Amino acid sequence: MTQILLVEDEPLIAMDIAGTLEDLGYPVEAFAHTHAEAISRLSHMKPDLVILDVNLAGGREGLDIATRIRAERGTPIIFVTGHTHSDIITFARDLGRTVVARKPVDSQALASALQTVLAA
Amino acid sequence: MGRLMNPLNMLMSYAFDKSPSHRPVWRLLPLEAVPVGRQMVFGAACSGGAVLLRLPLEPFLEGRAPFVLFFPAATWAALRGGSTAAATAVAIAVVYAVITPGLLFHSAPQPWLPLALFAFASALIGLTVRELRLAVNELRVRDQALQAAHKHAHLLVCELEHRVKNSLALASALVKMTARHSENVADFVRRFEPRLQALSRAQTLLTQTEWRAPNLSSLIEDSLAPFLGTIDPAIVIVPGGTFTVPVASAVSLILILHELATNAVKHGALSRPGGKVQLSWVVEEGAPATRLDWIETGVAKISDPNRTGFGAELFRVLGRDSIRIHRAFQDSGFTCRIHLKADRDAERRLEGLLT
Repeated sequence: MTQILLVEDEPLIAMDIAGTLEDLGYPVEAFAHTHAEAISRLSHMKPDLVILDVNLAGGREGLDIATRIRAERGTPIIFVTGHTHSDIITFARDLGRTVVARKPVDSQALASALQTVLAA
Repeated sequence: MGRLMNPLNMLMSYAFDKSPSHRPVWRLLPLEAVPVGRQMVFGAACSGGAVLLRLPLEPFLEGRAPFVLFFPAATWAALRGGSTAAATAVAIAVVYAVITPGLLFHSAPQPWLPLALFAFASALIGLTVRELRLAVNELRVRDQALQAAHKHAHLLVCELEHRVKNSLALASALVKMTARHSENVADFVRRFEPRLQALSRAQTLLTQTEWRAPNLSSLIEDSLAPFLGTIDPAIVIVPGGTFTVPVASAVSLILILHELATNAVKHGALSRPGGKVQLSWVVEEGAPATRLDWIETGVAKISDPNRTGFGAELFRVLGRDSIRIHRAFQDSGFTCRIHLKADRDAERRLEGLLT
């Protein structure tokens, strides 16, 4: 079973994404709503996949979490974001094993992102 | 007259309608003032260059047009150096014209006239160039401000896009959640519409505060606006101290209060005469947190109507570290206590982004 950590500051959106993932056969193992929570979860678990909101509490703290994850291990990451900035795409490409999914995330987009990132 | 027909427009377009690194006029006119000593050296160099250029041409010119090369020298000195550089260039040109055999005083019948005309024309050039430098510098400053404003506007548009997408994601989550607890399409519409209105009120409030932490009192009034004054008995609000609600929790809190009021109208204290709701809050001493108490009285022994319903799911999902919700269905009535924690670090980060 794929261990998934979902980092999203808006609980309703987190619940929605988790529900979609569960429908796709990927139940979420752990949730984090803030940067600090995410770092704490990552120190206690080794997820197979991290689903990461780029904007946490106003800042782009998701990018910092992604950098930390990549510095320590090669865990695949799916960014979920409302941004269409090219800099986020570039950041994700440079990071490797990373896919960007646009909010609001639909089931098809999430399935495709999972397939891409887990196959890589 | 079309734009291309106007020579001034053409010149301005050539000079300014390009990216900063490709603007010839800007490269021509340095922004910083050149020190006086360097201006004098530069002015002397400009006139010196004109002299060197004139010497081999003298046999062909034979004393005619004594200042023909000094005009561009003085103009160049004024453009690149400034007034002192131009004055130095003119002074050297005058000295050269006076002392050189075959020029002014050796051949011209009225030598002072061309000298005076040269000095007058050079002064006009100097003044014109000075005005041009001032105008270009002003344009440069405005262009920098415009670029900064453009960059800021771009950031705001990107931020707006992010927030719109986030709101759509929230609405999408509410749609799915409401659909799970609806019996049919009509029931779904009836349930979803007020929730969408609550979400809309949250967006309005955050827009009014420019996405800074809203005041708890305003947030409560906005959340309960559809229920205040229209229902008898009304909801009684007992204000506590001043508390700013973290932006990250504002939408959740509005949805929670909306759901509490909706449930009170449907099943609780506001569903029958004699019932009353009191909402009060206390800012906790020594901690950036507040405690809200929603107390329903006058209707005893209400069982949890939302054990498996939308409300229960919403409270379960929204309840987290920064918002803790404790509901109790007691004999005296329903109560709900909400602990709300402020996140000063997040507020400071957000403030930094917004300014």
